[in-house]
Amino acid sequence: MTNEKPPENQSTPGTNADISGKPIPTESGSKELRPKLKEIFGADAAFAPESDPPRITIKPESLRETATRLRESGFDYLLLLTAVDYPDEGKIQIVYAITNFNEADELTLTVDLDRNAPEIDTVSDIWRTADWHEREVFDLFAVRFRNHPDLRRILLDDNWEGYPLRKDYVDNVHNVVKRHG
Amino acid sequence: MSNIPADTSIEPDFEDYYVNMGPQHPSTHGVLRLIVKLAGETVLGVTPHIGFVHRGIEKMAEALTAQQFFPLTSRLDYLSAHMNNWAWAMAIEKAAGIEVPERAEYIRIIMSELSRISSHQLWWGVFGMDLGAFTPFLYGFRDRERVNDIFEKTCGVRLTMNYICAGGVREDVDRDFEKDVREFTDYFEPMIDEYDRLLSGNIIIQERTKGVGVLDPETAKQYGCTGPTLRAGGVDYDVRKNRPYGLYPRMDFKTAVATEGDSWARYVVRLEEMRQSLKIIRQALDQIPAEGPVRAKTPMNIKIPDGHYLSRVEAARGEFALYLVGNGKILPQRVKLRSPGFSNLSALPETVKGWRIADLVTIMSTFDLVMPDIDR
Repeated sequence: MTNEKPPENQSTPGTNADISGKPIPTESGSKELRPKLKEIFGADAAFAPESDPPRITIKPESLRETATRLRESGFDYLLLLTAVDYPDEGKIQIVYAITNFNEADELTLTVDLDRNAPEIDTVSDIWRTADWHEREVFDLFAVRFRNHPDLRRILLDDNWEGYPLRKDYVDNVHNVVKRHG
Repeated sequence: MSNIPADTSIEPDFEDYYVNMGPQHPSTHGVLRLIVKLAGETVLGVTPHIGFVHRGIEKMAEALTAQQFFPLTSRLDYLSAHMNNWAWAMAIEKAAGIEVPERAEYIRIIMSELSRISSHQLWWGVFGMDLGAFTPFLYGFRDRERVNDIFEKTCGVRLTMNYICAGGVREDVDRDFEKDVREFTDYFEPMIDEYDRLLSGNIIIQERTKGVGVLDPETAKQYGCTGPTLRAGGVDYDVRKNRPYGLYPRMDFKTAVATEGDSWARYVVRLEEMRQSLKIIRQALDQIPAEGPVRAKTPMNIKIPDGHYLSRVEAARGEFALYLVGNGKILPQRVKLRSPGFSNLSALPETVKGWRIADLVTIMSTFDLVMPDIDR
């Protein structure tokens, strides 16, 4: 290997530029992201302080309105949509990671649902990729998406019993259970 | 002529019928079942059925420690094993605040770009075979063998590498590594031109790909397509540029972009990506520190602090993202794997509408689907 020194890596946030002169995005996307989010969510938007990208929890009723506003303000890329099960708190949290094809802005929206009857509006007409992602969450967590065009199982068999990614799912045939710590 | 889209409206005397393509069809490259609605030879609609190799990797992740989960990430998109390992390593490093040594960062880049090349070599060979040309398959595999040999010397395995780990890479590279990789880059660069001479200029290939299966950029964005499938339509989006990770900002390369969005554009983009990857590998070899640590000290069992962590990498097929939710314990609360193929495949029904059944094979081949990546 040659001993040639690599170019100095400057790590001052917001001032980096790669060789082509394009500014390198800093941790949570472009510097303008937070003011932009304030505009969309209002001044009292609740950011989770420790998280990168910024995480915002919203009420299920306001999901469609928020999603539409985000889509209109340039967040045209729904990176992923998933759920997290918290049986102790009796909730299922839906996570939307939303970003942008042009800039580096990224954020996550979380919505808490009642674990016993989780139901939420679809966003598949806002980002079409949500169609399959919502089917997957339905398949593995039994979350219903209202007004979804084609809500049926996607990964598992149509007659599969149970919803495997729920924490209390028991499958002694397929699931090898290991315990640590 | 196949590159004129047929009218989707059917004459009343036609009776449309359904054909099951797969799950054991050679052109589906794995176990994908497509229910194809046909009028004569014209595809009216396609319903993909996936999940035949669903192994519940996300569920398994909840019962495995950070170190134990690495081998499973290699088994998603087995042609992008290094990139998938990297995504998991990056999520852990972000969560536990681990610094990666510089030499390891360069090794990660070299390994990832080599596997991008090897993935595209395989795709190129198989693409030729899908369209009825057998020779490219032999050429692609012959050259891919050289990359696999390099991997084998360093990682001990040829496919499911499990080499990139939290805090760096598992161990330092083989002592012939630099020589081998330089030899390979010098060997393979003129070989891409030969690929061009062998397949790209072929009139049958051009007739069967040009204008076939146009995925316009707006639709591609709507479906969350990434990688060559998206860039073929003119959207300049590459995680290595748009959200750089590792030491990619130090590398001088261009993202391969085409404008037409058809099968030919997807073909051209992948060939160009191989050239750019060679360029990155050469720069990384020039810049890499001659020695130094390749792995940061990490505890045996890494505790994942409370919080949500997102890591994104550019795998060979597009953006691979990993979403990790920790709860302060060794085992994660939730791991979500966002595979590029899943979103790319969801745009397939839109793309094939109105084309002939033979074009469906072409389009599917240029989408470059890997089923274990989609089914997880």
